[in-house]
Amino acid sequence: MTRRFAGAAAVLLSVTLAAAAAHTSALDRVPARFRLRPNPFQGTPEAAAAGAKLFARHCANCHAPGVTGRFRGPALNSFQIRHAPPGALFWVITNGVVRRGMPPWAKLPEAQRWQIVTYLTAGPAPPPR
Amino acid sequence: MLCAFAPWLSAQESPYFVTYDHHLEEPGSLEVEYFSTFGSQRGGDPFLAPWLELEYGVTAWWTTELYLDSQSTFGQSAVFTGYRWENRFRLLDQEHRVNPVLYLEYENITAADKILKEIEGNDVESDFLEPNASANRQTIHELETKLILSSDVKGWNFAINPMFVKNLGAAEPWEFGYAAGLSRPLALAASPRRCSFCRENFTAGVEIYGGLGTADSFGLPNTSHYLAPVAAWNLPSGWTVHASVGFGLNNDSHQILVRWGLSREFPGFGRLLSALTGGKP
Repeated sequence: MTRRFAGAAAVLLSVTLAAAAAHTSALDRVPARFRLRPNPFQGTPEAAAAGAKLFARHCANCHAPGVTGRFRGPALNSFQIRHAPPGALFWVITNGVVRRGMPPWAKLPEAQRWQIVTYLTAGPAPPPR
Repeated sequence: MLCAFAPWLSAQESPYFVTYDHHLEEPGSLEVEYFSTFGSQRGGDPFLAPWLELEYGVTAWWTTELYLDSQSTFGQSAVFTGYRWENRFRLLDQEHRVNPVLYLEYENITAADKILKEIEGNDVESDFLEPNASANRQTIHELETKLILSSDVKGWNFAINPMFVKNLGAAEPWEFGYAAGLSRPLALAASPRRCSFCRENFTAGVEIYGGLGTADSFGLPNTSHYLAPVAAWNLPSGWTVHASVGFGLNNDSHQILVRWGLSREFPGFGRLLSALTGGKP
């Protein structure tokens, strides 16, 4: 019984780590100097609320949980995203992951990209209005 | 927290009518756009030239687009003037100081086409004096190529598009043209509330475009040029309203070109297409 439980736990851990790796692989490629960029809106509730609105408008079509299909991106409400360096998230939003289907979002002004980062790294946030 | 998925959403649309920036359509998104050009015509009748654009993001680096052109010359007739198939390819994966995009378009239009989406070679106002009845019988097959160079700095977009056009149906030299634009949203940060009239929803700018002659006669003589303030209003409902007033810069240009348009993005179109064709929904 204990062995079966340990086996199931190992499988669960592997799946979790694999999922985490899939989510963070784009973040892993962020150049070090960009990771260190501070978020000018860090901890600002208004920026998180604005980020929630922008996320719903521009990102949720691919990144909402339960979205399936050819252009589905990973859901972003994970521990890895919440605790990623803000500069790394900003870099991925700006540059996209073009070969894997995510377009660059540099068409959004820099402030709006930081607002989305603020939303992604904030604690439980109110749903966008 | 991320359950805020809505079935229709909007993107930040460029305000330009003629100039292209390097931002492509999002993969799987279909954008349906209706535009119209009203042009004054010295020595003839003014015209209204509406066109429909269907723009689809095939991948994050490839956008394809179909144009259906028409025009109505006052006191004459309303005619369908042909179609264009445009493709834009992003050449670099990441954002750079200057971002290149390759533009390739095949045009199957008639000499009556008046949407003036681009000005090339020795296009001048007097070319548009020919009556619809005869002009719409002359078919033109053209290959149009552009190198889109575009840059985003501190909320500003600057784009320049040198253009190279070859008439495939006649032994004519390559024609050249240009377009350049500068634009900026009225506010860089978003407000926390959903709003139609927030400054962040408005983008304003200016574009300049014109012809540069041909391989046989390169230069400014017998060419037309326009300067046009442009604006776009991105509504939270997903609609975008576009407007522009272009002013001719020399005697070979139309004195005024008034343009307006309405567009709407459908982000789930790719998934719908996959489901309809038996793919993974």
